[in-house]
Amino acid sequence: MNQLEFVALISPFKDRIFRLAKRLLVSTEEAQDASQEVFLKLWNKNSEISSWSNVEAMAMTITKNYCLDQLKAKRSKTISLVSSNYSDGNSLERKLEGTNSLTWVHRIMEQLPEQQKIIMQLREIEQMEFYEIAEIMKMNETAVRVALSRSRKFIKEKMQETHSYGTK
Amino acid sequence: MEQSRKEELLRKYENGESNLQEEKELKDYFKNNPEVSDENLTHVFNYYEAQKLVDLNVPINLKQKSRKDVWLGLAASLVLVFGLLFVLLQNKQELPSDSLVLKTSNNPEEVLKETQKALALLSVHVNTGIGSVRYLKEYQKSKDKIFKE
Repeated sequence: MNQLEFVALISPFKDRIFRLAKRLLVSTEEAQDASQEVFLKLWNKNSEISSWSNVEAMAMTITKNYCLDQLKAKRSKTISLVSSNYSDGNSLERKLEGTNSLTWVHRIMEQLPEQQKIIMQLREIEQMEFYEIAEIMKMNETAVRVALSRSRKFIKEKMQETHSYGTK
Repeated sequence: MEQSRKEELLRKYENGESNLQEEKELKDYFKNNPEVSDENLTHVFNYYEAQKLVDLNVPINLKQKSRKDVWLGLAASLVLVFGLLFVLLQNKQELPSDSLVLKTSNNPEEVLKETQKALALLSVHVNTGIGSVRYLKEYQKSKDKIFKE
């Protein structure tokens, strides 16, 4: 496979890769770097790719694992920084809360554990079928449904809290 | 949509039991009937819709970034080393040409003169040293006067 064929193969889901990376890593620059890293990993497996049944699912799994590794590395490096930044982020959060309902939802989604974040991303935004998500997550479909249900309920609850906070 | 259908869809959605068609039905219903929709859920659905539009925005790059950086670093250090060598070598060549050249002469008188001059210059400095020693001698004398054995 040459470069052009490869790019044509991954182009249909390059944005999905980026969106998942951005969901987990938050910063656009980091998500772009992570996407490029994933493209490279795929390109280096060039010879195997034709034997994969589902290139996209494989790419999404690689993205998920790479981003989780990045987060783990970052956490062990900057534990003190993260905790000291936390209060700062909160005051900004409160300012934004009043201005934009989309921002509320975004903040609430950020509070989800990583696994639920990924599943929500794949279902609500990418509109994937349960069997596809199960394949990417290496979980069974029931476990995916349970995690999804838990996340949807969490978001509903938090939205109600935010809402009542605003009307009081 | 009937109330019962809406409630069924909402329940299935919350329990993670709805399929993609049912979820689309719910979202479309909310979008087209804002007066009966759940306000919070509408915000959530709007957010998901907006997130679908996020895209990579940079071209796919298949060049190994890390390897490029290594080569760049290597090139920079080579330039630095050669630059330093160049500057040092130039300085070395310049030194003998003017300041440290040794004057030689075949005329014995001239040599003697030059040597004396050099020694005289040296002795001036030696004498200043000796000058301070004289003070010490004076000190010794007065000490001997007081502490006679």
